[in-house]
Amino acid sequence: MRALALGLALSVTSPAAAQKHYKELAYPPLRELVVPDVKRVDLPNGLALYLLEDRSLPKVEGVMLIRTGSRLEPGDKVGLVSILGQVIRTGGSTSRSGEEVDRLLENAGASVETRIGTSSGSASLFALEEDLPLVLEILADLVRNPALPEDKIELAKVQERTSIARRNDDVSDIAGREFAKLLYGADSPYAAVPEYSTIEAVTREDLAAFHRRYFQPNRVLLGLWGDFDSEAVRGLVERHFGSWANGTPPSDPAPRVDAAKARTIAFVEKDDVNQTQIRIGHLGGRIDDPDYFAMSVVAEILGGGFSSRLFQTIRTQRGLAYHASARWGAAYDYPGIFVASSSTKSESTVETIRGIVEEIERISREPVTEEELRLAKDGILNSFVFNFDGKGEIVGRLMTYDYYGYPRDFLQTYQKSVERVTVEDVQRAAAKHLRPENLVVLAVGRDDDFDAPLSTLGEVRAIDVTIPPPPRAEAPSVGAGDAALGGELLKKFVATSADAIQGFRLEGESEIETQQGKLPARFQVDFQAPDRYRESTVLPFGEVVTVLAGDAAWATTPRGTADLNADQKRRAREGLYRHYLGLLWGASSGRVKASALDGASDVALEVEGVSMRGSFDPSSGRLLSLTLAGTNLEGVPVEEKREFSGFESDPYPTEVRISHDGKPAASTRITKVTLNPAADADLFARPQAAKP
Amino acid sequence: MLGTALFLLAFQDLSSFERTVTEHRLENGMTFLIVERHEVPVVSFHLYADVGSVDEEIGQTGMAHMFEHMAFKGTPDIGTRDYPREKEALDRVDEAYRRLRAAKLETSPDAARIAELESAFRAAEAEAGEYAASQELTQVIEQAGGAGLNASTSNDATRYYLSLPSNKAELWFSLESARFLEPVLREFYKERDVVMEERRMRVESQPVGKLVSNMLSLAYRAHPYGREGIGWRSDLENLTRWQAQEFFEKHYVPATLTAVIVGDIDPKQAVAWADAYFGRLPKRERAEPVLTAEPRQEGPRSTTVHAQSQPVLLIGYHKPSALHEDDAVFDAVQDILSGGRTSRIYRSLVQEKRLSAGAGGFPGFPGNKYPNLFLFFSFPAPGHDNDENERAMLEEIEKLKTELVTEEELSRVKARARAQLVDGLDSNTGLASQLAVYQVLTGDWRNLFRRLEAIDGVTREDIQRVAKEYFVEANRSFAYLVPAEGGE
Repeated sequence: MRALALGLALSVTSPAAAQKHYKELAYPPLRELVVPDVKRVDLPNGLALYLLEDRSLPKVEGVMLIRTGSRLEPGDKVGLVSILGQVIRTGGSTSRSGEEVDRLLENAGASVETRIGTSSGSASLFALEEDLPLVLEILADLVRNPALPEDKIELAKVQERTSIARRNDDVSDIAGREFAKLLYGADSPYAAVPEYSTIEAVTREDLAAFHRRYFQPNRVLLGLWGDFDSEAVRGLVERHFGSWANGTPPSDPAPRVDAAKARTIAFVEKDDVNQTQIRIGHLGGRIDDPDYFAMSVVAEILGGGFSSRLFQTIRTQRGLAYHASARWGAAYDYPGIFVASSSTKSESTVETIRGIVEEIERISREPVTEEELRLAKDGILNSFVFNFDGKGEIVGRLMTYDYYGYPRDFLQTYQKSVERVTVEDVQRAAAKHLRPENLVVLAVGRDDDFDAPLSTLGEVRAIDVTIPPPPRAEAPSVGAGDAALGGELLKKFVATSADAIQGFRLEGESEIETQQGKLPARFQVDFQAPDRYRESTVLPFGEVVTVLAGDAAWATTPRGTADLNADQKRRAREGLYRHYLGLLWGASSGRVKASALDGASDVALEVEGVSMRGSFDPSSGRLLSLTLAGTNLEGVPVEEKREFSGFESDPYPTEVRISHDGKPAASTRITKVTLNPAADADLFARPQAAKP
Repeated sequence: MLGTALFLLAFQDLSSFERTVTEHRLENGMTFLIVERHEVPVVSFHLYADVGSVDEEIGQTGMAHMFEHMAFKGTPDIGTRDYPREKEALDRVDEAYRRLRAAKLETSPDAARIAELESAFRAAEAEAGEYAASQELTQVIEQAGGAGLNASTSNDATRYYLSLPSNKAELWFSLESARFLEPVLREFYKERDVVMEERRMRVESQPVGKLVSNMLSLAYRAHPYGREGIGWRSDLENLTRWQAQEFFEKHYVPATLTAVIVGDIDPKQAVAWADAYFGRLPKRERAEPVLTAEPRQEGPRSTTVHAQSQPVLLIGYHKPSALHEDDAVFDAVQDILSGGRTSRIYRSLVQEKRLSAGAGGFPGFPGNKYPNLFLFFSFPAPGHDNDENERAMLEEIEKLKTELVTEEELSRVKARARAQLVDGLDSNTGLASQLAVYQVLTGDWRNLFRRLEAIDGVTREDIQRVAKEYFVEANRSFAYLVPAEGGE
């Protein structure tokens, strides 16, 4: 080999060593890199096979890419694809149980693992050279004929539920997740995270259908490298994958990304930490953008390594952080994330944010120096050889380019393009792609200890990361009982009101039980049919308002205003039906279904997908109590019971006693009921600027 | 069935591998291992300093890690604008800090005087900062195309890593020898703030970090494994530049340094560079190792940490150091209990009982050089708590004592060990790291390969014997992370 010969030639000139300062060193040119050829073979069914022989160690490794991704899953089943990625492996195939697969592989020290990420599915394999036939057979069996058994689906669901339950334990997890939601939108497939309800919604049939749809041989790329003979391996692959037939081609356009463009200061409260996690940025770009090369250089100068501006100013000179970096995130076929990250003690939060924002502003406004550009380019170009120091990288990169339809010499283009980047290119690209005026700033931490209120940076949007509780498994079904009696009871209930309800206002006072004693509150509830609902509660520490206005929904607290996520919206809507008058409106407008389980005293009710149990007075038709799934002050799921009384002077109750799991939680006195009040648009308008 | 053939193959590999290794010991006591492989023109360097947080003085915890940070600040002729002046300025920083420190330590501290001295100190620091250009060292490396530039400090050791395009190999010799010949601890106090931030990130704002810290101080009453590697907060806040200098002089002697170089390099050239560059380090006496031995534990211990977090369970048993003859038995125990999907703990706690989302156990916590812990852990699944997980975990541990493991399990351990060895040999950085660990901890890098032989010698009875000897109640510590009141 030429490479080796050159290496030896070098050594002839060797030992004359005297120690030198690094500035006196003269380096020989890097000997030419010999990049091994990867062989690509397409099977008749479209499966693309990539092979690279490497006889240096008696092992074979491999990776499979499958054209699919979690971005293709439905929004009400977030987690489906992650579960599928696990169960394909853990559940075994139609002919071998998962446990048998585990044994066969591990007894040979081999492995096969599968997962599905945002924009691709993948499998990886490792085998000692002599076990490759077995491992390839298992891989083929799993991806072609996964058994998807219920017990392993449940196992995967336990994993998903654990991730949900633990997702607020670590501040940097919160920061990463919420930052993505802010940039892509909370419901975007590029940011959405599973909830208990979306996990529960996933069925075996969903998994099987998703698998059928996307796991087809012409959507599969398989790469193998290691100690094998290419012809022999090709035969093996044909044997195990050749009979795999294609089905109906799915249409799978990558979901669009159109995110908020406005400057945002967002905050997540985490009161048990003494360090704030900071993320600052906006959407990044795509790798096929002509400016990608220049932006890679921009990010390198801004926050790439030890020598970068952020590292030097935030860490070295000011000692504000252990970690300060920036990344121009670009993905192959959708916009990535431009993000500067750091974490600093609570007491220097705003100072650090300002420091980072200044650097982003500076690099988008002023040209970088020739020296900075030279250092950054040298760094990128001199380390280029490390793109070739592993066989897996070489094969994997080629497969990735093919997967996303990139030219195979893209890496060489990258190298040449970086070489050509000038100070002007950097400035033009930074000015075009960095938008300091639209930065999204996220801080996760304990704001009581901040050096200055976050609101000094702008209007603060408080993000509630409370985890929506799991749906209750034992919710009663309206299908189970006596629907005729249920219908009659509802009719009677509706007849208790002489007026047609188009809206109402409730005003009153509550006493809420807390561990520290009773907490007094004043409240006002406003409803305008069909979709304007507002709840205001004035507590000793301030007012909390939740508003549903058509598709929009937000909550305003003393910390600021934040949009509700889908789950919070659902819960707010449920709130309407917890009120006597809300349920009465629902019943009178035909939204409520009822079925008597035990005469009038236990009636299953369903309204807009929410299940409750009601107890009616059969003679007056009044609703006496409602039992439903709720959450306590700590966010823990409880059974909530609401007992209505004080009907004396009015057809509607004036007192409501609320208990959680049988223990008193609050008592409420309704001092004023206004039916169909005059419309007040102000009540349902989103506040322009919240109090800091 | 494939065991023997593969075992032979692996051994052939050791002898053929051995031909690619050059060992070189400098006169000052520093060790070099050079592994040549020329396929790709890159080379990885791993400098293993046998200096860890166990070597810190009482009251100066965190110093080993603090010094690791300072090792990136340069030398008298790297990282300065004018060293003679900078040196004077740094002396004034020391002087100002001494006065400030003394004032703070007075019985009745005088706040006004402290404020005055504080501002004098800040001024001295700012003046010294004017001469510093401490980014030079890392900048030179990054510009040269250095990859994986980093360092890490553990209880046992401090390691410095770097990979370079192979034509620039001499740069590593030049820079690395210079910084361990005469490091200049510039910007010490700013860097101490950086390390405080690292502490907040890893321990103070991290529930599992708090739990681990509590587990260690519970299990160790005497040995420094019980101290936090990153340093107690109050110690860190009081570390000084001159203490760091003393730490360096005492511990960074050539005999504690082992450099492993793997990649496209000519060993003759490397040896010549090693002599020329690292030969400059003066030969000095090594400090004594830690002599404090952890007294035998005489009954179970437990501790609870309240935090806003889901529960986490840790169970630790004291066990001997990596040099003990049963070391391979512990590796086998680890694999049977927690290696892969066939392992007992995964099968029981995660797959069948669904009590846990992740559970396992491993030896060598928090280090390997001294007697350490076999640590078991579990992250309970929602709806399950530490108690249930503890019961299920102890059941699996007990079973090792009452029943022999199966033949299949034991032969799987052996097959997996071979596969893991083969898997770990191809990356330059991974191989350099493994060779360094084996060379320093066991005295011979060949033990990386011989470990297979040791594991092959493990019997089912060995596993039972070791479990009965070490996994006993009196030798056990529990640490529980429990959701704080009012937490989620």
